[in-house]
Formats: sequence, structure tokens, C-alpha cells
Amino acid sequence: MIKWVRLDERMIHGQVATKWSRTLGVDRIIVADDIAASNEIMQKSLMMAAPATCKTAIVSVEKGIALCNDPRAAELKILLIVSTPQNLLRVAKEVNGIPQINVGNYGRIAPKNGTEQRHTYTKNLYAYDEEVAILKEILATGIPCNVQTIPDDMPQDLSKVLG
Amino acid sequence: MLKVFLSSHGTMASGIRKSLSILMGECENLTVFDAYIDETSVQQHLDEFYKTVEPGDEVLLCSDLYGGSVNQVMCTYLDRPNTRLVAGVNLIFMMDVLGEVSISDARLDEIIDESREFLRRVDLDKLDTQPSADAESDFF
Repeated sequence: MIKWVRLDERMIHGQVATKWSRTLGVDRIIVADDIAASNEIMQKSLMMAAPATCKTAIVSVEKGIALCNDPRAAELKILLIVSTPQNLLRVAKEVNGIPQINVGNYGRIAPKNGTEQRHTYTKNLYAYDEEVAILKEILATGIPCNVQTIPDDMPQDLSKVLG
Repeated sequence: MLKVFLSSHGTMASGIRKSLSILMGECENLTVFDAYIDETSVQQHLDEFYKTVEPGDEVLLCSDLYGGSVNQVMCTYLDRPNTRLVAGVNLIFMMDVLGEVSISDARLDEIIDESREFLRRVDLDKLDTQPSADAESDFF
């Protein structure tokens, strides 16, 4: 079953996946991202940061949702990672039983609207107003949402961070 | 408590600290000194550092280069209490070490071996971990 859904525009990187998978005690990681799923080199480079202890699947958003909702997933402990607020909203609406949404890293490398800059919310969260609107829709689903980059950080409430 | 002192020829030490601050936030138990930039010496900074060391603290000295002059100076501090020295540190080594409150000799050797593995040529065809095959049977 799904243990944690994380928004991280860099998906799996550095020690992040290893630290989170250890802290959460998950045995599966799903990266649900249409671009990564269709790009073999991207998949291989993402896998360099995947923990050795956890099976990691890099699949389309639709497939990631299906894997989480599959009855066979009931006994697994899954960490689901998406890279955009839009994908996070879709997952929040379509994956059953999400206990926690975690906003980890977003807005530094995501494509920009022309020369317009994103507003800064925390040192790892930058967003345009349209993206904030999406994050507020996610809050409206009632699923608890925090802002926390690594487990060592103090988690904050997403609603407080967005103001 | 573990206290770490890192020094290098020039700005590698403070550069590592800056990288670490991005990766894991500020590390209060890390002291750095960029040698040969100003007129002060590694010894002076080490002497200052040791004034902050309390009985029961573990001290880890880290240098940039085995056989280098920074490392040679650090060798002369190995008779201080609870002091160990690691030469030729890399970023992952610093991350792993600074994440610990106390490190046994065995654990330190383990971290060194693991960190050494991170210096490697990248061959996309020879990765340690492959993505879980699309076949659901593999995932489930």
C-alpha cells in the first residue's frame, strides 16, 4: 500500500531516496513520470541513486497509479515520487489511501514561463501562482501535506508555507 | 560527540562545506580551514579547534591529499586524545561521517570503503541496479 507520496522535481537523486526509503521503511519505490518512463538514459541515470534495498520502477503516471491501486500492492510499502504539481494532483485524486503527501523539492529546475520567475516559499519550493493553485487543490483533498526536503529537516504544514 | 576538522590546499575545504550545506544543511560539528590562502597556518587553526574539544569528544581530522603538507601537519596531532585522521576525503565520505554522532573504528573503515566505491567510471550498461522490469510480476 502507498506509504508516502513525494513531489521532487529531481525525482531520485543523491542520498534522498536512500534516506527516505530507510526512514519510511518502504520496500518499493515508484517514480511516476511520463518523460522519465519514455527515456532510457534518464531511467538509467535515475537508477544510480536508487537504494540497493528497494525495487524501483520508473513508469508513466498512469501506470504508477495503477500499480499503487493494484490489489497485489496491498502488502507492499510504496514510496511514490512525482515531479510536477499537476502530476501530484492527479495522483492525489486517483491513488487510494494516501496517508501523507510530501513536498520535497520543486521549482528550481522546472521549465519556466518565459522570463517570469517563480515566487520563493522555502529554499526548496518555488512556484508560480498557477502552481500554488494546484497545490491548494491538493490540500483541499484533505490528505495531510507537508513540506520537508530530507527526513532530518523539520516538516512544515504545506498550508502554512503557502500562506 | 563527533567533531570534524577539514582542511585543504586552497578552497576545497570551504567548497565542500558549501556543497554539504546544500545537500544536508549546516553542520555544526564541522570546522574547515582553507590553507595557503592567508598567512595563518594549519597548526594555528588546529590549535584553536582543539580548544573547543571536550573530554569524551571524538575528533576526526580530514585532509585533501595523502602525503600532502596539510596531511603532514595533521599527522602531528595524532597523539591528541580520541583523534583519527582520514586523508583524501570525498563528498560522500563527508556526508556519511557528518551524519553520525559517534563512529567506531570499524564503522569508519566501512564508510571509507563505501566512499571509495563512489569514485567510479559511469557506464550506463553496467549499473548496479536496473529499473524494475515493466513486467508487473517483477514489481509485485
